[in-house]
Amino acid sequence: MKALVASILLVAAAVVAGAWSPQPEPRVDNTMPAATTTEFLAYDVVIDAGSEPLSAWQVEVKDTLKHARIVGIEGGQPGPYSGAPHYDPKAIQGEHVIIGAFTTKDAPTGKVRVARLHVMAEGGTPSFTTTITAAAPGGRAFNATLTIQPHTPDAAPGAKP
Amino acid sequence: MKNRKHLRMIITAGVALAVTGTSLFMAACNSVGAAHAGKSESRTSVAQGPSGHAEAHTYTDLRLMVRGSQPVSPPNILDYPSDWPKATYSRGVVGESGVGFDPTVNADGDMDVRSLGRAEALPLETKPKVDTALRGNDITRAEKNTELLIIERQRAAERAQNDAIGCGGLITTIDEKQVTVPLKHTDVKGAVAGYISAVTVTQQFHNPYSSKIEAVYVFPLPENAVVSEFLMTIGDRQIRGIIREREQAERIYHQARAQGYTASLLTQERPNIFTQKVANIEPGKAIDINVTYYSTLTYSDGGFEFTFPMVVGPRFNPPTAPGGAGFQPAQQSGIGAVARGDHGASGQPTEVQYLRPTERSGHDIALSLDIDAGVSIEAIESRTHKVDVKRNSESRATVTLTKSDSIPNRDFVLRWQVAGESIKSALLAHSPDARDNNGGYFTMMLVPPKDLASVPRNPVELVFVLDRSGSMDGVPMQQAQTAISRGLSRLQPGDTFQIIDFSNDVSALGAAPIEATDANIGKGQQYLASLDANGGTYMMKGLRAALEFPHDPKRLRFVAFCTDGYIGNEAEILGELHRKLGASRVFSFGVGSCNRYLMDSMARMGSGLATYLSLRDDASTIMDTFFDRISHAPMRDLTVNWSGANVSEVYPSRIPDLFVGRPVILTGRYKGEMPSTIRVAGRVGNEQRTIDVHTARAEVPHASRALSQVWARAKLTEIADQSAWDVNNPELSQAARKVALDYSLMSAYTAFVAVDTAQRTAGDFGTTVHVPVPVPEGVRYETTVQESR
Repeated sequence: MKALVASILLVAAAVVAGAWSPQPEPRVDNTMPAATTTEFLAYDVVIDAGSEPLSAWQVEVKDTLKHARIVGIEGGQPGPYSGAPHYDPKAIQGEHVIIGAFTTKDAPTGKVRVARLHVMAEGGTPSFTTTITAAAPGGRAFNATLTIQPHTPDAAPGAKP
Repeated sequence: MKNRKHLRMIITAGVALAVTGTSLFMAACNSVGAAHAGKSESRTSVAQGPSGHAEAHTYTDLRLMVRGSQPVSPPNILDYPSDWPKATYSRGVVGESGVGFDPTVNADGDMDVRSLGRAEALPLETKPKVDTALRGNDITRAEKNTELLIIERQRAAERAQNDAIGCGGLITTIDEKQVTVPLKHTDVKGAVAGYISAVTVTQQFHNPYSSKIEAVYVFPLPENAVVSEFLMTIGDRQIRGIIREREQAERIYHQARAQGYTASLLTQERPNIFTQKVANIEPGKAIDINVTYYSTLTYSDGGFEFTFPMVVGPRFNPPTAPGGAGFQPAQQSGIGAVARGDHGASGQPTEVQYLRPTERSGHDIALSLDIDAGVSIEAIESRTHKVDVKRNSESRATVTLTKSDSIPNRDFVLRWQVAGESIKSALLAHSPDARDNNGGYFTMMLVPPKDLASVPRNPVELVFVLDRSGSMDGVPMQQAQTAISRGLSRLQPGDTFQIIDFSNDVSALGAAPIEATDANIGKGQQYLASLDANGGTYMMKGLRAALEFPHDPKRLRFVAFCTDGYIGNEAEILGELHRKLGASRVFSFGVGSCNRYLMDSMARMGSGLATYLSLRDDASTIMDTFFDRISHAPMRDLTVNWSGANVSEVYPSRIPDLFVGRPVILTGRYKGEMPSTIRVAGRVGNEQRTIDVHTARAEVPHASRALSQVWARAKLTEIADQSAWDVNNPELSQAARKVALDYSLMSAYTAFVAVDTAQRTAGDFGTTVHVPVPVPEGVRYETTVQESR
């Protein structure tokens, strides 16, 4: 258990400390569905690492319209990122979420669902800006693509996006 | 405090309600009553089970149960208290006449309960007999809307089979006193490194019913637990809960609950009492909740102690106590203790439902602890539970609670002695990351100098305060009396003493301090032995009597407060203690599975120490240890020379005195480098003493996180203590809120919420089911739990 706790806390510490830099410019994701007055929505956090092994990642997601409240953070697809990632508690007070994780083995390549965000949307449609930092083994940063896509409820649990 | 309102009902002699060898239909997944009405010809019936397959069920025995004036609408088993039997296959409600009922068996062997009004004929195979459980003299009349439930008494083998999740046919076994609860199991896994423990508690909720439920469970954690992590697990999916301001978290939870999403909410009612809610658990489904916390361990007299509370004791709420004094949010006040199924009877915002003495739940607990003491372990012992101990090395061990001791009805206390001189004063620092502007955190353990034990004490004025309220009745009272009796015998010439006792009122041995002569001690022993436990816990009266007692300035004044602390107005008591303390030092003696939050707080704010006396401890030995401690002058007026280090926000801000055998732990923040040695100065009697403290760095990542959170928790405690007497200071609640949110900690102002928005369950949120718990071992249900019927 201690090893598990230690690895989790390493990640948490890294997340809080903002371990990976430089930070790419935020981009707007316009794929969000319309929200009613109070609606609960799930969004998959998908990183396309291309041919690079995704050894570490950090993602920041912010609703520019301030409709979204994060109400849960779920782990990703089966594999090294299936555990629920830690978040930065100070960031969440500003209604944006900074999460991250790393793995020391079996780093996946290609499209990887690394997390799922559970959101309560009030009064309108969330419009997210995102930033991503991805690293290969050894901490080498590389360019990866981040997509925040609405979760499809019918998908089988653990299915790849 | 009891408020029992008997249900009265007429039962005609010779009426039969229990049968044996009867073969009848049972709705395995509990369509209840309505499905069976009018099937008087049935002997064995068949119904569709949850899997869609035809299922047959054989009854072995039937019982009649009654419930007080509560209408049933709609007729669904989940309208009954959560742990009422699902196997009820018929019910009736007393109609307008209100003159009682006369259940009889007709010529066909059916029980006729038509006189109940909306009643249903019951098919019985053999002539039943009277259920003696309903022939008590107090059952002479039925009131309108009283419910009647005909219940099967299930065989053990069938019960075990039905216990599987998904069957939905879980049954209350009245004779064997087992009742259904939606909390199936609690698993506790802890890891100790030195004097810090990291513990994960997994609560396994399930839904054995036929429709959706919301489970509500009020449970304890250690009073110094730093709850920092919350996970909801549904199948193989794990959702991390979010820390939010309490009101916001509650609003999110209620929105999700109303819309059919599975959601969970963890709130703090006291530093050692929490409420777990899990909404929209579908029939047959299971949901795990994982709560992780850190805590510092107590070290005393050569050993460390790990404590895990398993049940919240029944609290007494004085009617005059103000709601929400001090640290608690304004809308909170007491914590009610009510009988299973009596939700709302106490009128308190938080209620604990208790199993009756003849009942047991299937909820059990497992506990394992990995100890890395860092020094050689000499002995490991639990006086409260049976444990298996595996020694992994000289300094490591794994301790597991035996399966035969898995009923969660008392505090788990484990103690391990370490090698004689191995524990020394030390400072453990977490090196701050260069990019972290917050700097680092440290904890410092101050161990009393060895020669402290050679410094004799001055004459003392010892005031014993004994809680003789109803919750102390029985073994707790005997333990307290034995301890105080021993204390009286340890007094020395020149000392004075007093005995103050309280429940509904307060009384004392005398009006002034009494010289500790043999004759006076004898009178004190007689007085002590004459005391009985009953009535409410009006602790304020006892506290005031003890602290307003005229003080003799020539003597050190110690107040030894013996109680289980089962009250709901802790903040009020602590505020008064602060105001009235004067020159007194308060030493709390927690009896049984007591309210450790109150005990620790009283001792901390009273410049004394807390001592715990379990029902399995030798009370005389515990009191001897206390006397050994107060028989030597403490090291006091402690100051720390930080050698130029940039240290800030050290808690507790007023360093407690060092008593023989009891170290003190400080925690604080720093920037830059921490010097290799810190010097602490103080006074023992009239002599100056110093302690040199060597610093070490915490290299393990989880230790670093633990240090920061232990510091944040200490700051919250400091704020809470001040809030107890500085009740109208809004800055305190703001400060507490900020610390809790910044460090992702549970507090009175923050809560964890988790919602699974990926799947939505059908229908509304179902029925709220409260998890009943046993009263703590040694506590009498009859004198502590409120019954509305």
